[in-house]
Amino acid sequence: MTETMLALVALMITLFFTMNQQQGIVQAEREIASIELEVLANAIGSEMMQRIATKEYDAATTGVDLRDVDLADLTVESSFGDSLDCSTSVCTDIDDYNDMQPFVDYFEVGEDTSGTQQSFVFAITADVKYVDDQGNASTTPTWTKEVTLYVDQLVQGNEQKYLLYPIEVKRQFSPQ
Amino acid sequence: MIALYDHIVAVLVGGVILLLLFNVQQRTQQSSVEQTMMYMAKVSTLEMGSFLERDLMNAGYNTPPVENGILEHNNTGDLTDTLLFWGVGSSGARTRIAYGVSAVDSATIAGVKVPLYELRRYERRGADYVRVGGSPPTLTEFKITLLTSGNAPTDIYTADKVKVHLANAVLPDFESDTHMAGYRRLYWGITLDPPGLQ
Repeated sequence: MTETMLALVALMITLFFTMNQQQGIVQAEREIASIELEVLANAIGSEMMQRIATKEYDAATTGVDLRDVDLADLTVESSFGDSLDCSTSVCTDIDDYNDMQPFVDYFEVGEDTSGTQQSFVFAITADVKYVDDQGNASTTPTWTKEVTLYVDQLVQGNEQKYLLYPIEVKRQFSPQ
Repeated sequence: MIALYDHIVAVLVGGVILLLLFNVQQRTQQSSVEQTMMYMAKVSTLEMGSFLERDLMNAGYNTPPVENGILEHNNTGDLTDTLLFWGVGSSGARTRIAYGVSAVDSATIAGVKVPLYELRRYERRGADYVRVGGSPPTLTEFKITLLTSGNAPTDIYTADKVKVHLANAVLPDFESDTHMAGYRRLYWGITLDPPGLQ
Protein backbone atom coordinates (compact mmCIF):
# COMPACT_ATOMS: atom_id res chain seq x y z
CA MET A 1 0.00 0.00 0.00
CA THR A 2 2.81 2.39 0.91
CA GLU A 3 4.48 1.74 -2.45
CA THR A 4 1.26 2.53 -4.32
CA MET A 5 0.83 5.77 -2.45
CA LEU A 6 4.43 6.78 -3.10
CA ALA A 7 4.08 5.89 -6.78
CA LEU A 8 0.95 8.04 -7.05
CA VAL A 9 2.69 10.98 -5.38
CA ALA A 10 5.60 10.57 -7.82
CA LEU A 11 3.15 10.51 -10.71
CA MET A 12 1.45 13.67 -9.47
CA ILE A 13 4.78 15.48 -9.12
CA THR A 14 5.81 14.39 -12.61
CA LEU A 15 2.52 15.50 -14.11
CA PHE A 16 2.88 18.88 -12.45
CA PHE A 17 6.47 19.18 -13.70
CA THR A 18 5.48 18.10 -17.22
CA MET A 19 2.63 20.61 -17.40
CA ASN A 20 4.99 23.33 -16.29
CA GLN A 21 7.49 22.38 -18.96
CA GLN A 22 4.77 22.21 -21.63
CA GLN A 23 3.66 25.73 -20.71
CA GLY A 24 7.27 26.86 -21.12
CA ILE A 25 7.40 25.25 -24.56
CA VAL A 26 4.15 26.95 -25.62
CA GLN A 27 5.54 30.29 -24.43
CA ALA A 28 8.76 29.66 -26.39
CA GLU A 29 6.70 28.91 -29.53
CA ARG A 30 4.80 32.17 -29.07
CA GLU A 31 8.07 34.06 -28.73
CA ILE A 32 9.40 32.43 -31.90
CA ALA A 33 6.26 33.52 -33.80
CA SER A 34 6.63 36.99 -32.32
CA ILE A 35 10.21 37.24 -33.63
CA GLU A 36 8.92 36.67 -37.19
CA LEU A 37 6.48 39.54 -36.72
CA GLU A 38 9.12 41.74 -35.05
CA VAL A 39 11.25 41.59 -38.21
CA LEU A 40 8.25 42.52 -40.37
CA ALA A 41 7.28 45.33 -37.98
CA ASN A 42 10.84 46.62 -38.07
CA ALA A 43 10.74 46.74 -41.87
CA ILE A 44 7.41 48.61 -41.75
CA GLY A 45 8.88 51.07 -39.22
CA SER A 46 12.02 51.64 -41.32
CA GLU A 47 9.91 52.38 -44.39
CA MET A 48 7.83 54.90 -42.44
CA MET A 49 11.04 56.54 -41.20
CA GLN A 50 12.20 56.86 -44.81
CA ARG A 51 8.93 58.63 -45.62
CA ILE A 52 9.36 61.00 -42.69
CA ALA A 53 12.99 61.64 -43.71
CA THR A 54 11.76 63.15 -47.00
CA LYS A 55 9.74 65.82 -45.12
CA GLU A 56 10.89 69.27 -44.10
CA TYR A 57 12.48 69.64 -40.67
CA ASP A 58 9.98 72.29 -39.61
CA ALA A 59 7.36 74.60 -41.09
CA ALA A 60 9.81 77.46 -40.42
CA THR A 61 12.58 75.80 -42.49
CA THR A 62 10.39 75.19 -45.52
CA GLY A 63 11.54 76.99 -48.66
CA VAL A 64 13.94 79.34 -46.88
CA ASP A 65 17.69 79.62 -46.41
CA LEU A 66 18.49 77.81 -43.14
CA ARG A 67 20.93 80.58 -42.20
CA ASP A 68 17.94 82.90 -41.91
CA VAL A 69 16.13 80.65 -39.45
CA ASP A 70 16.51 81.15 -35.72
CA LEU A 71 15.73 78.52 -33.07
CA ALA A 72 12.99 80.81 -31.79
CA ASP A 73 11.27 80.50 -35.20
CA LEU A 74 10.84 76.73 -34.88
CA THR A 75 7.52 75.16 -33.91
CA VAL A 76 7.17 74.74 -30.14
CA GLU A 77 6.32 71.25 -28.90
CA SER A 78 2.84 72.24 -27.78
CA SER A 79 2.06 73.12 -31.41
CA PHE A 80 3.27 69.80 -32.87
CA GLY A 81 0.82 67.76 -34.92
CA ASP A 82 -2.09 66.19 -33.10
CA SER A 83 -4.26 63.45 -34.60
CA LEU A 84 -3.40 64.34 -38.20
CA ASP A 85 -4.12 61.78 -40.90
CA CYS A 86 -0.63 61.28 -42.33
CA SER A 87 -1.84 58.81 -44.97
CA THR A 88 -2.87 61.95 -46.86
CA SER A 89 -0.64 64.86 -47.90
CA VAL A 90 -1.48 66.85 -44.78
CA CYS A 91 1.77 65.99 -42.97
CA THR A 92 4.38 68.21 -44.59
CA ASP A 93 7.05 68.43 -41.91
CA ILE A 94 8.46 66.08 -39.29
CA ASP A 95 6.52 67.31 -36.27
CA ASP A 96 3.21 66.86 -38.10
CA TYR A 97 3.66 63.12 -37.48
CA ASN A 98 3.48 63.61 -33.70
CA ASP A 99 0.47 61.72 -32.28
CA MET A 100 -0.79 61.09 -35.80
CA GLN A 101 -3.81 58.89 -36.38
CA PRO A 102 -2.69 55.23 -36.54
CA PHE A 103 -1.16 54.73 -39.98
CA VAL A 104 -2.16 51.33 -41.36
CA ASP A 105 0.38 49.46 -43.49
CA TYR A 106 0.68 45.83 -44.49
CA PHE A 107 3.40 43.38 -45.41
CA GLU A 108 2.85 40.62 -47.97
CA VAL A 109 4.64 37.40 -47.17
CA GLY A 110 3.66 35.26 -50.14
CA GLU A 111 0.92 32.78 -50.89
CA ASP A 112 -0.42 30.03 -48.68
CA THR A 113 -1.04 26.46 -49.87
CA SER A 114 -4.39 27.47 -51.41
CA GLY A 115 -2.74 30.26 -53.43
CA THR A 116 -4.18 33.11 -51.36
CA GLN A 117 -1.89 36.07 -50.78
CA GLN A 118 -0.93 36.23 -47.12
CA SER A 119 -0.23 39.53 -45.44
CA PHE A 120 0.12 40.97 -41.96
CA VAL A 121 -1.40 44.34 -41.09
CA PHE A 122 0.32 46.84 -38.80
CA ALA A 123 -0.68 50.13 -37.19
CA ILE A 124 1.98 52.81 -36.74
CA THR A 125 1.81 55.66 -34.26
CA ALA A 126 4.49 58.29 -33.65
CA ASP A 127 5.92 60.53 -31.01
CA VAL A 128 8.11 63.52 -31.92
CA LYS A 129 10.20 65.59 -29.52
CA TYR A 130 13.17 67.95 -29.52
CA VAL A 131 16.41 66.56 -28.10
CA ASP A 132 19.59 68.33 -27.06
CA ASP A 133 23.18 67.48 -28.09
CA GLN A 134 23.29 64.69 -25.48
CA GLY A 135 20.09 63.14 -26.82
CA ASN A 136 18.02 64.24 -23.81
CA ALA A 137 14.49 65.57 -24.32
CA SER A 138 14.38 69.34 -24.58
CA THR A 139 11.35 71.47 -23.82
CA THR A 140 12.66 74.27 -26.05
CA PRO A 141 13.32 73.96 -29.81
CA THR A 142 16.68 72.53 -30.89
CA TRP A 143 18.17 71.55 -34.26
CA THR A 144 17.41 67.87 -33.60
CA LYS A 145 14.04 66.18 -33.57
CA GLU A 146 13.67 62.61 -32.37
CA VAL A 147 10.94 60.50 -33.90
CA THR A 148 9.81 57.33 -32.14
CA LEU A 149 7.54 55.03 -34.09
CA TYR A 150 5.46 52.36 -32.38
CA VAL A 151 4.50 49.51 -34.69
CA ASP A 152 1.88 47.02 -33.53
CA GLN A 153 0.15 44.16 -35.29
CA LEU A 154 -3.43 44.97 -36.20
CA VAL A 155 -5.81 42.05 -35.90
CA GLN A 156 -9.42 41.84 -36.87
CA GLY A 157 -12.11 39.51 -35.59
CA ASN A 158 -10.74 36.13 -34.60
CA GLU A 159 -7.30 36.67 -36.12
CA GLN A 160 -4.40 35.59 -33.98
CA LYS A 161 -2.10 38.29 -32.65
CA TYR A 162 1.45 36.98 -32.92
CA LEU A 163 3.41 40.13 -32.08
CA LEU A 164 3.66 40.00 -28.30
CA TYR A 165 4.69 43.64 -27.82
CA PRO A 166 4.70 46.67 -30.17
CA ILE A 167 8.19 47.46 -31.43
CA GLU A 168 9.83 50.88 -31.25
CA VAL A 169 11.89 52.41 -34.04
CA LYS A 170 13.74 55.59 -33.13
CA ARG A 171 15.63 58.04 -35.34
CA GLN A 172 16.89 61.61 -35.03
CA PHE A 173 16.61 64.22 -37.75
CA SER A 174 18.28 67.57 -38.36
CA PRO A 175 17.61 70.10 -41.11
CA GLN A 176 19.48 69.30 -44.34
CA MET B 1 -0.76 -10.89 -3.74
CA ILE B 2 -1.07 -7.28 -2.53
CA ALA B 3 2.74 -6.92 -2.46
CA LEU B 4 2.97 -8.21 -6.03
CA TYR B 5 0.21 -5.85 -7.14
CA ASP B 6 2.04 -2.90 -5.51
CA HIS B 7 5.25 -3.80 -7.29
CA ILE B 8 3.54 -4.05 -10.68
CA VAL B 9 1.88 -0.65 -10.19
CA ALA B 10 5.17 0.90 -9.10
CA VAL B 11 6.98 -0.45 -12.17
CA LEU B 12 4.20 0.83 -14.49
CA VAL B 13 4.16 4.26 -12.88
CA GLY B 14 7.95 4.43 -12.96
CA GLY B 15 7.94 3.54 -16.66
CA VAL B 16 5.34 6.20 -17.49
CA ILE B 17 7.28 8.79 -15.50
CA LEU B 18 10.52 7.97 -17.27
CA LEU B 19 8.85 8.18 -20.69
CA LEU B 20 7.21 11.51 -19.85
CA LEU B 21 10.43 12.98 -18.53
CA PHE B 22 12.39 11.82 -21.57
CA ASN B 23 9.79 13.31 -23.94
CA VAL B 24 9.55 16.60 -22.12
CA GLN B 25 13.32 16.89 -21.89
CA GLN B 26 13.73 16.28 -25.62
CA ARG B 27 11.02 18.78 -26.56
CA THR B 28 12.37 21.45 -24.21
CA GLN B 29 15.83 21.05 -25.71
CA GLN B 30 14.44 21.31 -29.25
CA SER B 31 12.40 24.38 -28.38
CA SER B 32 15.40 26.05 -26.81
CA VAL B 33 17.53 25.38 -29.92
CA GLU B 34 14.78 26.76 -32.19
CA GLN B 35 14.49 29.89 -30.06
CA THR B 36 18.24 30.52 -30.19
CA MET B 37 18.27 29.99 -33.96
CA MET B 38 15.40 32.43 -34.39
CA TYR B 39 17.21 35.12 -32.38
CA MET B 40 20.33 34.65 -34.47
CA ALA B 41 18.34 34.75 -37.70
CA LYS B 42 16.52 37.89 -36.52
CA VAL B 43 19.80 39.69 -35.84
CA SER B 44 21.22 38.55 -39.18
CA THR B 45 18.07 39.60 -41.12
CA LEU B 46 17.87 43.02 -39.48
CA GLU B 47 21.58 43.65 -40.08
CA MET B 48 21.15 42.70 -43.72
CA GLY B 49 18.07 44.94 -44.00
CA SER B 50 19.89 47.84 -42.44
CA PHE B 51 22.83 47.45 -44.83
CA LEU B 52 20.53 47.18 -47.87
CA GLU B 53 18.60 50.27 -46.76
CA ARG B 54 21.80 52.33 -46.40
CA ASP B 55 23.31 51.03 -49.62
CA LEU B 56 20.25 51.44 -51.82
CA MET B 57 19.39 54.89 -50.43
CA ASN B 58 22.64 55.97 -52.12
CA ALA B 59 21.54 54.57 -55.50
CA GLY B 60 22.23 57.17 -58.17
CA TYR B 61 24.58 59.08 -55.86
CA ASN B 62 25.93 62.23 -57.55
CA THR B 63 24.60 61.11 -60.93
CA PRO B 64 24.01 63.93 -63.43
CA PRO B 65 20.41 64.15 -64.69
CA VAL B 66 21.45 63.00 -68.19
CA GLU B 67 22.74 59.68 -66.84
CA ASN B 68 21.00 56.74 -65.20
CA GLY B 69 21.57 56.08 -61.51
CA ILE B 70 20.81 52.41 -62.11
CA LEU B 71 22.84 50.83 -64.88
CA GLU B 72 21.59 47.24 -65.06
CA HIS B 73 18.74 45.31 -63.52
CA ASN B 74 17.52 41.82 -64.21
CA ASN B 75 14.91 39.70 -62.45
CA THR B 76 14.43 36.03 -63.19
CA GLY B 77 11.05 35.16 -61.78
CA ASP B 78 11.03 36.24 -58.17
CA LEU B 79 14.79 36.47 -57.95
CA THR B 80 16.98 39.45 -58.76
CA ASP B 81 20.16 38.07 -60.25
CA THR B 82 21.75 41.38 -61.27
CA LEU B 83 21.62 44.97 -60.07
CA LEU B 84 24.29 47.50 -61.02
CA PHE B 85 24.04 51.07 -59.82
CA TRP B 86 26.03 54.15 -58.96
CA GLY B 87 26.43 54.22 -55.20
CA VAL B 88 28.83 54.91 -52.38
CA GLY B 89 31.73 52.51 -51.87
CA SER B 90 33.29 51.56 -48.57
CA SER B 91 35.82 54.38 -49.01
CA GLY B 92 32.96 56.89 -49.18
CA ALA B 93 33.61 57.67 -52.84
CA ARG B 94 31.10 57.37 -55.67
CA THR B 95 31.52 54.06 -57.43
CA ARG B 96 29.62 51.32 -59.25
CA ILE B 97 28.01 48.76 -56.95
CA ALA B 98 26.90 45.38 -58.26
CA TYR B 99 24.59 42.88 -56.59
CA GLY B 100 24.58 39.29 -57.74
CA VAL B 101 22.41 36.53 -56.35
CA SER B 102 23.31 32.93 -56.95
CA ALA B 103 22.16 29.57 -55.70
CA VAL B 104 24.84 28.21 -53.43
CA ASP B 105 23.23 25.35 -51.62
CA SER B 106 20.04 23.59 -50.83
CA ALA B 107 18.70 22.04 -47.70
CA THR B 108 16.33 19.14 -47.31
CA ILE B 109 14.10 19.76 -44.38
CA ALA B 110 11.38 17.29 -43.51
CA GLY B 111 11.57 15.97 -47.07
CA VAL B 112 11.27 19.37 -48.75
CA LYS B 113 14.21 20.55 -50.84
CA VAL B 114 14.81 24.27 -50.36
CA PRO B 115 17.20 26.15 -52.67
CA LEU B 116 19.32 28.65 -50.81
CA TYR B 117 20.77 31.81 -52.32
CA GLU B 118 23.53 34.18 -51.40
CA LEU B 119 23.66 37.88 -52.17
CA ARG B 120 27.12 39.02 -53.25
CA ARG B 121 27.96 42.70 -53.28
CA TYR B 122 30.79 44.02 -55.42
CA GLU B 123 32.41 47.45 -55.71
CA ARG B 124 34.23 48.68 -58.79
CA ARG B 125 37.84 49.47 -57.93
CA GLY B 126 39.89 50.44 -60.96
CA ALA B 127 39.03 47.99 -63.71
CA ASP B 128 37.90 45.21 -61.40
CA TYR B 129 34.94 44.42 -59.24
CA VAL B 130 35.95 43.50 -55.73
CA ARG B 131 33.62 41.58 -53.43
CA VAL B 132 32.69 43.73 -50.43
CA GLY B 133 29.88 42.36 -48.31
CA GLY B 134 26.82 40.30 -48.98
CA SER B 135 24.46 38.03 -47.16
CA PRO B 136 24.69 34.65 -45.50
CA PRO B 137 23.81 31.76 -47.86
CA THR B 138 20.36 31.35 -46.36
CA LEU B 139 18.17 33.50 -48.62
CA THR B 140 15.14 31.80 -50.13
CA GLU B 141 13.78 34.97 -51.78
CA PHE B 142 15.48 38.16 -52.93
CA LYS B 143 13.75 40.54 -55.28
CA ILE B 144 14.44 44.16 -56.15
CA THR B 145 11.74 45.91 -58.13
CA LEU B 146 12.21 49.32 -59.71
CA LEU B 147 9.20 51.61 -59.35
CA THR B 148 8.04 54.95 -60.68
CA SER B 149 7.12 57.74 -58.25
CA GLY B 150 3.55 56.39 -58.49
CA ASN B 151 4.72 52.90 -57.41
CA ALA B 152 4.24 51.28 -60.84
CA PRO B 153 6.89 48.73 -61.91
CA THR B 154 9.33 50.23 -64.40
CA ASP B 155 12.80 49.90 -65.94
CA ILE B 156 16.18 51.47 -65.18
CA TYR B 157 15.46 54.56 -67.29
CA THR B 158 12.46 55.85 -65.35
CA ALA B 159 13.04 54.37 -61.90
CA ASP B 160 12.38 56.71 -58.98
CA LYS B 161 12.02 54.14 -56.24
CA VAL B 162 13.57 50.81 -55.30
CA LYS B 163 11.55 48.08 -53.60
CA VAL B 164 13.38 45.27 -51.83
CA HIS B 165 11.85 42.03 -50.60
CA LEU B 166 13.76 39.15 -49.07
CA ALA B 167 13.20 36.00 -47.07
CA ASN B 168 15.88 34.54 -44.85
CA ALA B 169 15.51 30.87 -43.92
CA VAL B 170 15.96 29.69 -40.38
CA LEU B 171 17.50 26.28 -40.81
CA PRO B 172 17.83 23.55 -38.24
CA ASP B 173 21.30 22.11 -37.73
CA PHE B 174 19.96 18.61 -38.04
CA GLU B 175 18.42 17.80 -41.41
CA SER B 176 16.66 14.69 -40.20
CA ASP B 177 14.60 16.74 -37.79
CA THR B 178 11.16 15.23 -37.95
CA HIS B 179 9.58 17.70 -35.57
CA MET B 180 9.81 20.63 -37.98
CA ALA B 181 7.11 20.12 -40.59
CA GLY B 182 8.84 22.78 -42.67
CA TYR B 183 11.18 25.64 -42.04
CA ARG B 184 10.64 29.15 -40.82
CA ARG B 185 11.44 32.21 -42.88
CA LEU B 186 11.99 35.76 -41.74
CA TYR B 187 10.68 38.27 -44.26
CA TRP B 188 12.02 41.79 -44.62
CA GLY B 189 11.23 44.46 -47.20
CA ILE B 190 11.21 48.18 -47.80
CA THR B 191 10.42 50.69 -50.54
CA LEU B 192 13.06 53.38 -50.80
CA ASP B 193 12.98 56.76 -52.47
CA PRO B 194 16.70 57.45 -53.10
CA PRO B 195 17.43 61.15 -53.70
CA GLY B 196 19.90 60.16 -56.46
CA LEU B 197 17.09 58.69 -58.57
CA GLN B 198 14.86 61.77 -58.56
